[in-house]
Amino acid sequence: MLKHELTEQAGVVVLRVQEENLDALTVPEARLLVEQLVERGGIKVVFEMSAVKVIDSSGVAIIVSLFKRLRALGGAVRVAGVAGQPKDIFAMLRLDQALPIFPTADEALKGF
Amino acid sequence: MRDGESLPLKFTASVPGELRFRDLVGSMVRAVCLRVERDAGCAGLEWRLMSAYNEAFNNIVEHAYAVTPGEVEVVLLVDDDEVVLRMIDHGAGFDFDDAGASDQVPALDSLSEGGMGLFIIRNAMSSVTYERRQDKNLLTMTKTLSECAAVSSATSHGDPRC
Repeated sequence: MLKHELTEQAGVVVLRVQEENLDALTVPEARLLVEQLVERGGIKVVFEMSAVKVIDSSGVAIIVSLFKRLRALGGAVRVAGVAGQPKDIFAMLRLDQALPIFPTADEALKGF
Repeated sequence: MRDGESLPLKFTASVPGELRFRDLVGSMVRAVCLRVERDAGCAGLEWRLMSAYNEAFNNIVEHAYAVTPGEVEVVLLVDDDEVVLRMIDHGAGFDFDDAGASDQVPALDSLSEGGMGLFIIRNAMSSVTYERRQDKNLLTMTKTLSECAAVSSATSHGDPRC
């Protein structure tokens, strides 16, 4: 299973990915996690990924999928802790403008 | 690279076209890039080259070898001006110009994994060419170091991109 931690703070689910790679190798497991979150309906999720050092298109796709599916259900996703190569990829794909991105999970939780 | 070394330096490796072997050769690509970064003062080269390498390897496994698995050959050429990453497989060919050819950033609602991979490759590298030669697919991805050097001064202003 994808190394991760799920906690809940003030009604917001915080998913901390604890893998260095969010890519084609780990995404099949991440997809299961996303399905579990989507099954809960229109919830709010902070996707914390400061441990992730490398992301590829399949990793990006899983985040975008979570964002779009929860939004369609009336929920929301905020992304936190994007740095290094993932930050470079987010900027390349302009995801830093399309997704709500925060430096830390604590900052993402404020006013969510 | 350092004085006294015969250029271009060539590094080659061949692995089965399965995702579990991607990082074995990726380690070689990463190590070479980090050395070039150090010697050329070129920040961000490793991120860009590794991003392109991972996407290209994924595409080979998922598309070229979707039906019949085979080998992936990786050739890395390094000289004072550029790093060339060539990836060769013997799987099914594809229309490179039609597949994610757009230079436009994909809109969030139309973002697909396949198109995104080629978009990342094209944008991470200075130039990308694809050839179908006999039964081989040859994807040649070049990063010009002057691009890195020109932007590396921006790293001190918080721009990490190569």
